[in-house]
Amino acid sequence: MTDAVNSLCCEHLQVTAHAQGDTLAQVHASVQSGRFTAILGPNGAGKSSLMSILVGLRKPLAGRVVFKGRALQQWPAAVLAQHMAFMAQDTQVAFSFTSQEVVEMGRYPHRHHPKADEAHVVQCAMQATGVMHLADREVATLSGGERARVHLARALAQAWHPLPDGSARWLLLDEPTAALDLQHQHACMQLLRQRADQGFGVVAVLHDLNLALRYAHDVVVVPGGGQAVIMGRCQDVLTPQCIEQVWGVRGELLHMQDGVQQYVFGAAPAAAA
Amino acid sequence: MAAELSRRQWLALAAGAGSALSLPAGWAQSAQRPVQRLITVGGAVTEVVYALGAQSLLVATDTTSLYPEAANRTPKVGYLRQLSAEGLLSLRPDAIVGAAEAGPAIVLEQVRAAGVRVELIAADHSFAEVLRKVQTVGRITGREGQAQTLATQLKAQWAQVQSTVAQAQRKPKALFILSHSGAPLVAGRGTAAHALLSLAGAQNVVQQFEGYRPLTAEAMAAAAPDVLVNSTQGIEALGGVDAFWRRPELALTPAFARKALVMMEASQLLGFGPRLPEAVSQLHSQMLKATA
Amino acid sequence: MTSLWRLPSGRLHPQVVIGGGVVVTLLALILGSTQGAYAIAPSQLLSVLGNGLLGGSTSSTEHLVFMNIRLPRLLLGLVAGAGLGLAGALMQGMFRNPLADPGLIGVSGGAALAAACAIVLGPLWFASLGFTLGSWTLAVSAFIGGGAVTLLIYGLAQSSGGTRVGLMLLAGIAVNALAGAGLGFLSYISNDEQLRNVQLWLMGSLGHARWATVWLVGCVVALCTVAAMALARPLNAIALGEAQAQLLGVPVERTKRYAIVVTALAVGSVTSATGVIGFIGLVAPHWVRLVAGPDHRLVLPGSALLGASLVLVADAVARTVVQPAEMPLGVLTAFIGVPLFLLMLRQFRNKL
Repeated sequence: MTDAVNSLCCEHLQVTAHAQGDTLAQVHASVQSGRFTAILGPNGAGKSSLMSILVGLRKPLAGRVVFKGRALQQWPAAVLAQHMAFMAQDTQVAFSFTSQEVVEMGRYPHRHHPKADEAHVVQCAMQATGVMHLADREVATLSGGERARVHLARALAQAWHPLPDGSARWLLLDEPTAALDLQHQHACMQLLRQRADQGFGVVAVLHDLNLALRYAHDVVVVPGGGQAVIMGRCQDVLTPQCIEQVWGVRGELLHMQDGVQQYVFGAAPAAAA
Repeated sequence: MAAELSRRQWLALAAGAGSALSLPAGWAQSAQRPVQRLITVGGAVTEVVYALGAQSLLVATDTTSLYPEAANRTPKVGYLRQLSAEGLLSLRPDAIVGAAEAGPAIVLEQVRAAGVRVELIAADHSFAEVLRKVQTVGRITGREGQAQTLATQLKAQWAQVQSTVAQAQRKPKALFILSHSGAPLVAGRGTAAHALLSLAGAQNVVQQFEGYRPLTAEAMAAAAPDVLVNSTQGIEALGGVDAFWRRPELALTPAFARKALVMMEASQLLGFGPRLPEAVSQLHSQMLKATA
Repeated sequence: MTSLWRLPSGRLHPQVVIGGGVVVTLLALILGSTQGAYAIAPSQLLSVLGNGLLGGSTSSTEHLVFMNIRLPRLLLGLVAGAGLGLAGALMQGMFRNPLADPGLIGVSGGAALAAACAIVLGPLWFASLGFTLGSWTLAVSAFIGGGAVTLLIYGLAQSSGGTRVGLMLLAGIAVNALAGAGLGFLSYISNDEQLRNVQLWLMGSLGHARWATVWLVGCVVALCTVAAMALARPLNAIALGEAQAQLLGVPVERTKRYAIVVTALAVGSVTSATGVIGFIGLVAPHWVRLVAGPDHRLVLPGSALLGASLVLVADAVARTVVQPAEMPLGVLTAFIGVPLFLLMLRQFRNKL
């Protein structure tokens, strides 16, 4: 497999919040499958806008996204949905759909070629995110964290089976851990790391640097203010200097017993300019 | 007079004539069969039935048939413009006689198709209309003799009323008020009320428009009617004559100074039935008295 | 709560929903057949039906009343209710809101305005049209009016991002208000007969049913129902939000356009034949969702069936409660619908 087929490339992308807004970020980078890439950055830096552009919901001010060697605009929506599953930041579900029904909606892109185990897929996806016991509950009545896990299960179900052409499946998630409690944050991250190790391309917008350090391979830091993004391996990019420069917070790096680096953040802000 | 018949009335007449010409012989036979069950639609038509003494044939009337009192106790088939085919047929009528506005047309068609004689009487707000009603009802109910008598009576009455009106020294300026919700609704050209005022020797002060329209206080003052005409039901709805005169828009009219108001019962006033000569006569004399 | 009828979630089995819907509609049809101002005993009814199907003697009044007056009316009520229920379900799915109504996209308002124009201005402006179309003038005008206003509102809702449902709602409110003002003006310049005709048309009635109308409206509604089923799964996905649905591969713009066209056709044809009948499109989908869940593969056909049943029952009441007169159907559906609507608001007040 060539690199192009297994990558999601941003070519000279200019990210803005609205069609006429200021440029928030410039991105010229590519993300590979088989890697878990985290997108980090301060509030308003353009992380969610970048994510919207990556999945094709919005058009960039300049530049383009190339997915598996083809420009994103040229991918028919129905085909794209078979290759790429997206979980939005906060999805309000209208009407009284149950969790199971919402997860089943993830199978919609594959409705013309249903596999023998459609029901089984849905169940496995729900078990993976720990929402099996909520199968018959209305999604609208669930807590924020439970809802997020249902939508994660839906995304997993959407990208469950290997593709006929053998290319990688992609999971793109906008803040999947935002509403989750501690236990489920780590469970979710572990799940995504496992998928990446199995060959998926995983891109997730995260708030928590430590989760990225522990579970993600690569990171894309969006500093905001129209600057170019910083991309590389987590340990390489997320240095105390970078953190102080981008987030304006002092961090102290700790080496954990299991070999993973984690930060403890201090209260002292960066020196006033 | 023909020009005043609306297109719809022409269509009704044409439909009636057409059906009379095109129906098979069976109908012609039923034309000779006496009518034993009759439905009348329209207050004036019902009045004629009672005037000819044919009320025993009457099985139902519509909601506008309020006179005489006995008509109120007959079964009601609804409002004359919105009849129900099944409702009419459930009463097993032999014939239905109605004013020109009876409808909807499709319901009348369906009833005709079921073998019922349906006759509508063209309206033109004239005395000839009354005579037509008398003749038609007389023919349908098989009381041509009584119809002839009544017609002669009415013609005599009418001739007398007309001569009285013609000999009057003056034509009072009158305004007919239909109802008083917000702005008063007054009668312009082309309405039954307008025709009535003209027949009674008055001059309708609002002739710039057709139909019933709301009139502002200023316009009413500009129109300056000497006498106001209203129905008794209308005055009652307002809460009596005193309440009527307390309406602010009337204060600037000449009629207000003299409290010149003529009231009459609505169906007699506007129905164009057998009480028309009486109504015109009363209206005429009361208007003259009020503006003396 | 598992049983023969119910799923673990408490909802009815899909087969029970559809089967039950068909049974209820048939019962309503039978009820409507036996009710009417003209008394026809059930035994006579059977013989009339037999004659009608086998082409026997046709002279009895019972036959005439049933075959030419009551049966077309029943069938028109059935297709009208089906069309309105279906359109209501489509609009609620598209707007992602259980309080949506087909009237929001302006079909009924436009149809009413066009009908009033035909009644009031027709003799002045389109005298020749009246002669060429005859008794169909009113229905054709109403249909065209409904379509034109829907097109206007659809056009107003277009933006660079496609059809904005929120914009459509606001445009619908504005245009409906304009249609109302137009109606008011036409009422003002009309004479009494025209005014009364407009009012009666607005109140809705099945009394104008004849076989030609039944066939026409029936064909349109049948086509719309079949076409709408293709929208069932896309509408399910759209409940997740239009962005998320698009990323599931749902052609969201096409789905919305399709839903609007089907609604305009169904409601336009029904309204042009019967006048304005309200609340069926609002209430029927809600009840179906209560017993069957929100899956549009059940809600769409279920709303059509329940809508048909509701109209049949309401019309049976309208025809008999003040017999030999009849009450306008729209008035009755409003009397029933408004309390139900308020009940729904109470249920949903926490979710709104």
